Amino acid sequence: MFLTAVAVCPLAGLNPWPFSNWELFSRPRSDRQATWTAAAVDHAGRERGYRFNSFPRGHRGFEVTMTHFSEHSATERDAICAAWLRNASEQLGPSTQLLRIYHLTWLLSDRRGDRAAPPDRAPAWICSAKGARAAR
Amino acid sequence: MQRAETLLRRADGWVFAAEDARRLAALRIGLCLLLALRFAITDYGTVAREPGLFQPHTYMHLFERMPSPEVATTLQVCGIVAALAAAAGLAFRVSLPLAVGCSLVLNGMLNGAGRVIVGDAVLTLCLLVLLAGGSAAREAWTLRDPVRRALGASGSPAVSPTLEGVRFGWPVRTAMVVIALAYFFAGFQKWRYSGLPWVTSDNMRWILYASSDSHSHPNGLALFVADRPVLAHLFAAGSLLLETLFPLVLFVPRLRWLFVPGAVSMHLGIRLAMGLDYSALAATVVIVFVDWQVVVAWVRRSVATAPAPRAAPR
Repeated sequence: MFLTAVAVCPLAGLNPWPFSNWELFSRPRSDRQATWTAAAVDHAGRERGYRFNSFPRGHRGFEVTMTHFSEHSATERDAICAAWLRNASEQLGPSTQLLRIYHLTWLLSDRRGDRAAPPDRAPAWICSAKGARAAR
Repeated sequence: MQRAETLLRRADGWVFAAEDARRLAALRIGLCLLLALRFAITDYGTVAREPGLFQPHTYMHLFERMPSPEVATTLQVCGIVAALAAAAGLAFRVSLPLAVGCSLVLNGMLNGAGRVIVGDAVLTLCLLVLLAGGSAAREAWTLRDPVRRALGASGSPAVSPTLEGVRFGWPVRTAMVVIALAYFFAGFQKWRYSGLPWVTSDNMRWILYASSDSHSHPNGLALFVADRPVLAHLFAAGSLLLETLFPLVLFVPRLRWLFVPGAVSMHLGIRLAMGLDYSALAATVVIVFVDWQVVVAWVRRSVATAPAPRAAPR
């Protein structure tokens, strides 16, 4: 039974930890990259970069969550946004009013020294005390 | 059909072959010490403070919300004590289930924060095998007798007889199969979703560039490989071969000399080039595949035959 579960999970694409589907870097990567980023906005409308991955482990779920964010119900989106905004306020201070979430795209082959060229940034979502709304 | 039956019977015979009790005891000591170390160096408090991000996975549905930081700390301390006791073979029927239980909750919390903790998965699966083996793992290399004697209890033999049996063999071999399957399926999924282009395309270069760019400081090793397509193809081919062919170590034990250091080197390379920590997986591979009773015997022989230290010249 146990060994069957170890073998079936990868075949069925299931990930019930500690069993795993072992899809480690298995999908082909391409030159074109896309990700999400967030910026905190204060009372005066000033924007400040908010790096979810600057905190150990806790916010690693940001990009995973954003990939399917639009598929969530409005209530779920509001709840996720409220949690993120609360954390941003705790980290950056109570003047934090909202979080702007951007979709970034860039080419890995377009290098500027040791780094890729700056990405194209498109506003996607706004997290405020009222909940989540699409930026466009 | 008959061939399949014969194969199954041979596999069954291999898994349920007799083994020395010390081989299983080495697994107990190694895996439990590794678990204690993981408890000690992992920060579970950060995820415990984020109830809003809790997305339960499998058994974590049992909890209504993310356990609090206080609960996480209590489980961490309990886990360390229980894992150390289990490594020593003390109160084994209680200590090992307690250590594994703490691990399942704490790692479940980390998974609940949105990231699958693959590195610790194999360690946990091997610990579950050890747990299923019952009390067999505490029959050798245990501190039970010295502790009993120190506590004034009598009747314990001074030297345990050498034990051998099926109940000491199947947990060791099942743990080996779990690890072999983990590596095999990591390779299988690459064939399944990418095929040969996983090696022949620029896939590895993009992985390394993306990883380096995601850190605050560029990674020199990642960029060195990514800037050299031939080197990137070689590393990709090596990784894919190692993962896909890893199960061969079950049938040809001599290949362990190649595949075990290969797997450890691969994880070390990933750590240096990408900053991803698979140390728990690498350590589990070493613990399970190294024949520790041979190592212990070799160390004892070396110590016994070493020349006595001479007095320092005045």
